[in-house]
Amino acid sequence: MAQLGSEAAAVLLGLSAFPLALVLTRFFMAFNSSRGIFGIDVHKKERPKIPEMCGVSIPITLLALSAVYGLTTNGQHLQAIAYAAVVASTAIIGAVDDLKRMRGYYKPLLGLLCGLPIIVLGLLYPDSVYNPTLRVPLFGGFHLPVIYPLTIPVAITVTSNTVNMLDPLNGVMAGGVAIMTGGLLVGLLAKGAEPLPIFLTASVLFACLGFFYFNRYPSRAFAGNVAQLAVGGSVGAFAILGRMEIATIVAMFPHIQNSFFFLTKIKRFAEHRDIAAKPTRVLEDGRLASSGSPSAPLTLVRTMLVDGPLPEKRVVSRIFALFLFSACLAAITILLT
Amino acid sequence: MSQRTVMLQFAIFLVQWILMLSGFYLLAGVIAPPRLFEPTLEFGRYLEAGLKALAALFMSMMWLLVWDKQVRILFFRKGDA
Repeated sequence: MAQLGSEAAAVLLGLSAFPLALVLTRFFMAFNSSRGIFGIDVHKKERPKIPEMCGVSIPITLLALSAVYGLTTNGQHLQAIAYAAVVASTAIIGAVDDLKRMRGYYKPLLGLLCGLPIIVLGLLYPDSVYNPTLRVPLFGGFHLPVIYPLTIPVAITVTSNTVNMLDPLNGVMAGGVAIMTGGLLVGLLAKGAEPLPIFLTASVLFACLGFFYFNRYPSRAFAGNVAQLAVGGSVGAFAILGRMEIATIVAMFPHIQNSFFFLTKIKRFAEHRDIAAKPTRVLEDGRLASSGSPSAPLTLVRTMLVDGPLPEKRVVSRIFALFLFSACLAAITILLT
Repeated sequence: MSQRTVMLQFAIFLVQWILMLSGFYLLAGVIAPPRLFEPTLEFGRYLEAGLKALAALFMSMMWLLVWDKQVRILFFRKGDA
């Protein structure tokens, strides 16, 4: 790796996530189908059955690559272990939710525990895992030795659950996260950042793209909570370990808006399946329309439908446009930091 | 395809991004530097950090409130929300 240049090696290792996630997703499509693990695509008139939990390929890919990265780099194995622990623990919570249907508030509560590996390793090996100086764009940094570690569990549970909440249509989670990590990666490469954040963003980007190949409209594979929570956890972990907290918040603007307006309307942590007033409905011609119900949450999809009904594919394109815009702002934020 | 919704949403993100940077300017340039308590005062350092964290929290809530108002005014004025 030393001969290649550490940034190029980090990108190449991240790039290997694409074929790995692609092959693993194909495998889980067949495996989960044979086990009867299906979900219903509720935004299609025909309501087809789609293999569920196929996104487990993403956390497996991220774990494998973080192990390779930890073993092949000097002095960064602790960060690789912390990252892998966050991805694995969020994936386990997601898998349990997929199989056992947990109540809405369990996921945020359990998500708090997923940030503990970073804190514990940080306490055991100070200055080797995370840096408690928050770097802010244009204005230097804030040294937060007490507050910063306390916010780590909150950050992990917020990112994992907010990514979990924005996967309503075919390809939105994987495509959206791929776009936002793409923007972050461009910013990092333009700035000449350290190899670790480059590797972490590249691996999430290409793992999501590998899964997106099967998850894009019309979906042949569903991610499941196992992938949504793990991807969100990995986003939170790379923001902390890669010291790009503010840029990641900017990249997640579509997620933040969706979750904020969901929670302010519903006023509790609830699963979409438990909400009586749905934000959207499927018309006879197959297009999606805003429900118009005053008690339905103001989700991002509903916002995209305020001008009138649209085909699902067009709504997804609009959401991707929002991700692209926030990814550009995130890249600029990295350059300003 | 009408791009009005997407353009308005871009504008909201841009406003929120500018507000975020302005907030960091206020935190770094105005709120963080002054010493509120004598350095000799016991727990003075922690009280000061707590007060400044509260100011940051208040600013974050204001930031979300502005976001909320923008979305409601631009997209959900007709009483469907």
